[in-house]
Amino acid sequence: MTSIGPKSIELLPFQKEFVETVLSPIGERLVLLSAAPGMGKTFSAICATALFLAKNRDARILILVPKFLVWYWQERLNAVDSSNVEIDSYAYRELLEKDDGDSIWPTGKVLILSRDYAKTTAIKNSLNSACWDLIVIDEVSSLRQFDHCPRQASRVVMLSCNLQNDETIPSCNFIEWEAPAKRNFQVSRITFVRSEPEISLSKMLADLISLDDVPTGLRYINQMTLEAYNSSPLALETNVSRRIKGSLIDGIPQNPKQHPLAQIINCLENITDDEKLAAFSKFALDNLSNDVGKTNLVVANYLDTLHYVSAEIEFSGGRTALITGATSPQDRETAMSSFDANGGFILCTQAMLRSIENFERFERIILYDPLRNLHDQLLARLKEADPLIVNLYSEDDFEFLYTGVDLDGDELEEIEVSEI
Amino acid sequence: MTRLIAPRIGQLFLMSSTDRKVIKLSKAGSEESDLASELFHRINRVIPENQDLVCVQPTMLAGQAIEIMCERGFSQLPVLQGTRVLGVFSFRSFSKVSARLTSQQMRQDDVVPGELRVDEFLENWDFVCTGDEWRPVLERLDTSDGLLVGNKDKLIGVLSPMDLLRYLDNIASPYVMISEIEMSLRALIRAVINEKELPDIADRSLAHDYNRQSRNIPHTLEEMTFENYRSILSRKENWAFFEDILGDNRKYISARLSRVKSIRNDLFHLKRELTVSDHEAISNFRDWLLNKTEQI
Repeated sequence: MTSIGPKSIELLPFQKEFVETVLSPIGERLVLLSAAPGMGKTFSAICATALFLAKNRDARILILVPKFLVWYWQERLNAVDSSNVEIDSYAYRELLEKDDGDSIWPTGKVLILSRDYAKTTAIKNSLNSACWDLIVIDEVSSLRQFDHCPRQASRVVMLSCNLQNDETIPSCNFIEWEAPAKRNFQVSRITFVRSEPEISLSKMLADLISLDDVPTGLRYINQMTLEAYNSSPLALETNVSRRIKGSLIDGIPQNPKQHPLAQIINCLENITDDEKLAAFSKFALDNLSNDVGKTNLVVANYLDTLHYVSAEIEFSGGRTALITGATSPQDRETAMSSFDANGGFILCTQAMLRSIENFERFERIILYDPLRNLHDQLLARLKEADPLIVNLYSEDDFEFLYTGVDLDGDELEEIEVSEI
Repeated sequence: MTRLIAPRIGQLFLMSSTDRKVIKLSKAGSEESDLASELFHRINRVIPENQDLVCVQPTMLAGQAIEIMCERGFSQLPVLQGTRVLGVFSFRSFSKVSARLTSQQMRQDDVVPGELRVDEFLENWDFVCTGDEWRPVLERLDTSDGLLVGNKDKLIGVLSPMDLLRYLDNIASPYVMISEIEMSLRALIRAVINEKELPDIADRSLAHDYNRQSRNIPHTLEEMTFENYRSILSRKENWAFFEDILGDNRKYISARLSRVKSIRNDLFHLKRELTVSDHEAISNFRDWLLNKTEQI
């Protein structure tokens, strides 16, 4: 057990070793931690940061993270009563106003900045002008990010999933956690066939939206639209409306009603069959009365899809709770404990999977949309019990989504796909 | 992102999505609770989040400054000598001085207004602090077309009337759109279900919830809530009334209504601050309903 102030936290031996390395006054300035997902890198770094602050009350500490991780750092630091604040443009303006000539960056609390915000010229210059006692950079994808780190730092910690020790970086303390032996997982599959009107809609989309011979940016946007079609009518409607309103994306600013994509929305209103939802209902809702007390997790790529599926579950008499970026930690906890006791459906976006700690509490995990990185996001985080993992699949959908993601078995050989 | 939650034990808690403590930033780690600046609308929140503060030197020519303003979509540029604010160059200050120039003066100095330095056109704008309230500065904003945030030696931002308008629109528009949606749903139901049929339909559609709570089922549209409208519209047996106007896809429309309902409840009960995606969802639904209402 490691104590941070009045709180005690249980760390595994290798995590404890990393924390001690960060806290040690001797040793290299740069500490690099590379480890597979699910081993607790971020958690260990948060513990190290909180302990560092507890031992050095006047320390100036900077955390640089992708935007989606800001809340996670804050939540974890709050849990151990470690003073912290997110620096966004509003907070920065307040700091500027209070500036009395010394560095504007306060000491004695953990300052968390999204990496994108930290890259803006004014912030970058300002960060560079301060002396930092500790800088932690989370989710590093390349060692080049070290070059963008403020220079004047006594200790820099970088966390990554896939970095190799590289001789080009300055002397560093390279820590690599060996990944646990891979377990065999089984992902089951519910295959459904799209209805004729749905197939007509997908053809219409394919005619309007091309993935070939278009610039990379537009290709990505087009791919998102097709992915939204695969997900749900509501996700498609939002995506298409967004494109129509910001029609500069498509290079044709014009009356929204005459936009070529407007016909997609008209078409959506008149499609009565949603075979994907029907397959989901048949699997998850037909025997609702037999499933009392069982908790299901439904994961989708789009918030709109969660609302869409949630409405269907509620119509069938099921209980639902949505976990999204806007859900507060208390609401999340309340939902989780209430569902642990009474069962029901927790619906969550892919991005929020990280906020779920204990996947073993679920009887079934239903992947309404394919997960982009099934192993890292879900399987690596499963500890002991294996919930039934189900993926919805249709040969009629735009197939680029399934290639090399999770179901073809090439990249993740340990996943065995079975039909239900 | 900040959000308000219900008062507990006579105290208001304001929490962010990450449940952070309300901390006013101060130097050397001293934490000062500043609920007021989180609860009430202050100038800092009115300045656009990613305002790009572009300033020019006094030696810049007016023509060049106007070019920058047109390019960047600004109506004014603060003029700084080093870090000290000398004043503001704006379309208004330029036209006021230019209008006073006579052809004789121009011939005499052999210059046209665009070739004069920007410091010939300066206006003095008032300064406000990030923690000031926005309401008392309205008058000053109207008089000078803008305000500077910070002080003479430290310019932090520029506040224009448009910034304030956008900010207020951002706060008010969800309420306005939700009320438009609610009124349109009422009009839609009234258009397709006659007054005599409504009580029966209400009994069928709402009985489940009302009987469970031993409450009387509302029989007029004015007595009904948003949730009642949703229940009536979403019910399979009632869809025949609406499909001519709303289309065949009942589940799709019902899901959209459910989403709007949940956003509405969070908004009206101040449970959380709306996200961009929430704004988008109600705005799309409102636009779609407007289209449908035009067909009634």
